[in-house]
Amino acid sequence: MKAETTARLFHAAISIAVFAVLLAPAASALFGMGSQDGSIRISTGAEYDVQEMDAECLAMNISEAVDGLRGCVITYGEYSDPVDSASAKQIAEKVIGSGAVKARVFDSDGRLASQKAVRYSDAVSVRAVMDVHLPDAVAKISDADAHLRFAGSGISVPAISATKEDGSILRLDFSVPYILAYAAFALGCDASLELDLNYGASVKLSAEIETDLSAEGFEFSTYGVDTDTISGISKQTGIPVLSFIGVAPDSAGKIGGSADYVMSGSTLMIDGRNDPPSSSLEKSLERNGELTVSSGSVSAIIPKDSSEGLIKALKTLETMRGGFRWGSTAR
Amino acid sequence: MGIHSPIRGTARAVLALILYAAVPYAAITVLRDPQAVGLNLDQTGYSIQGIIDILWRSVLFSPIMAATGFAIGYFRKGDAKRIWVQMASLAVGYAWFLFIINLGDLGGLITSEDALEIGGKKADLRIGIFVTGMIGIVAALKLLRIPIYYGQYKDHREEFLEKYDPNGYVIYRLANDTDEEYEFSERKKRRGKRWGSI
Repeated sequence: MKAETTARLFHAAISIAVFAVLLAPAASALFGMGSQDGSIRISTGAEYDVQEMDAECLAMNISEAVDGLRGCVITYGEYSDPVDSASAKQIAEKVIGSGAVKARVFDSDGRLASQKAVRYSDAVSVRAVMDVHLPDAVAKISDADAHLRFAGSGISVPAISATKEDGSILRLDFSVPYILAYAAFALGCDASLELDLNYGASVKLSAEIETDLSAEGFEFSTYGVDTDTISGISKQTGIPVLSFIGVAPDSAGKIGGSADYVMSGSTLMIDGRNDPPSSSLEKSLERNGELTVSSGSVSAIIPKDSSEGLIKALKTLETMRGGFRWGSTAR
Repeated sequence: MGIHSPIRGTARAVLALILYAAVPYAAITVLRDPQAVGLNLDQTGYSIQGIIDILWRSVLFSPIMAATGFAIGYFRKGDAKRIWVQMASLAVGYAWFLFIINLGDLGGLITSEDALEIGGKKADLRIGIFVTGMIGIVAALKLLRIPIYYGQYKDHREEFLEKYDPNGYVIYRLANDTDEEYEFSERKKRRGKRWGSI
């Protein structure tokens, strides 16, 4: 065989192997995700780690799971009870009291009920576990990353973990400090989910799911010379705005070393201790640019980029407000 | 016939224009208006502008590919200068690849409005590709073409010299043939000339 022919055959074999092994999974995922057959969805099974929740948090999750359904049943340990939106709180207290480790909600057909995300909230942040269904895309990934971004605010929350489940589901685990979400929503920023699916080291498929989950109803105001207030209560209905972060529990704590906060009835107040809160937060930044929010023994660390985004968002809100005057409101 | 071939060069340039300009342009036309060619694709709510941009970048780069193609065709197989031009074409081909993939950043390749429903609200989906390690892999595949060029040169060198460089051919034969092979071929030539077969 001629030298040129041999070299060509060798080159062709290598090229085909490379593209089949490395590119085909990504190409298949790309065209699968781009098609409009509605197979991509965010839907999480109503399965809860009860010991990481209090009654209020569990009730909120149960309410979301049974919303619009009839004949639902919750199983916990060896027990089971019928449940609906009206009895969610009572059942939640019973479940917590039973000491069960896990609880599951089933619909009238015996299937596991589903909800957007399962939430675990504490005094400073909400942990959201959500399943993103991506047929054709997830099966052959080597690993994945995810970020929750609030468009236009610079605030971005990286996922604690992004793991593959059952070949077509990406399970994402986020911990979002309430202060970040409140500031972003007050600024009117929509939340978007950015997924990075890595196919080995050769190609990364990036999917950005833009939502209009800006939770209208969040209002910003200033008070005195050092207090920002962000209200998460709808003026139309008078009840807390139920964005994907859920309803924040009442709490109080510190932000770094120069500011305090109080969360009460879905209203967040940031006290800059005689300075505008945005300036106080700037002083509170640690050397690596991070910010720590703490309440008692519970704390959350806000990474550098998000800290900068948070300070910028508060400054923008304070400026839009025209500085600090008594009882003025910005929206 | 001259030592170089403008006709072959032109043919390769035309082929390059077809491959890098005409085909992508046709694909752009089809993607923009599938019904013009009888395809019934419903593009409502989604945009493939990112894919169209890739094809446009290939069209923009096509004159350079055509020039490279002309240069390769101009130098005949077996000509040492052809290898240098082919090496240069490796670099140009790699530059084409980097240009069309926008140096690896193909964000926003496909966007789809209201593709998902989250919490009762519609959500847009935006898909992109970021070429990471593949950039290095394509470079390695390009380098694997060097043996092809060298093989082509080696396979056609004797024929090239015989046709276009008789003195060079003699030196080539002296360098590559054994004494017997050289003597045999010269005797055969003399016999052919004597009896009129050459």
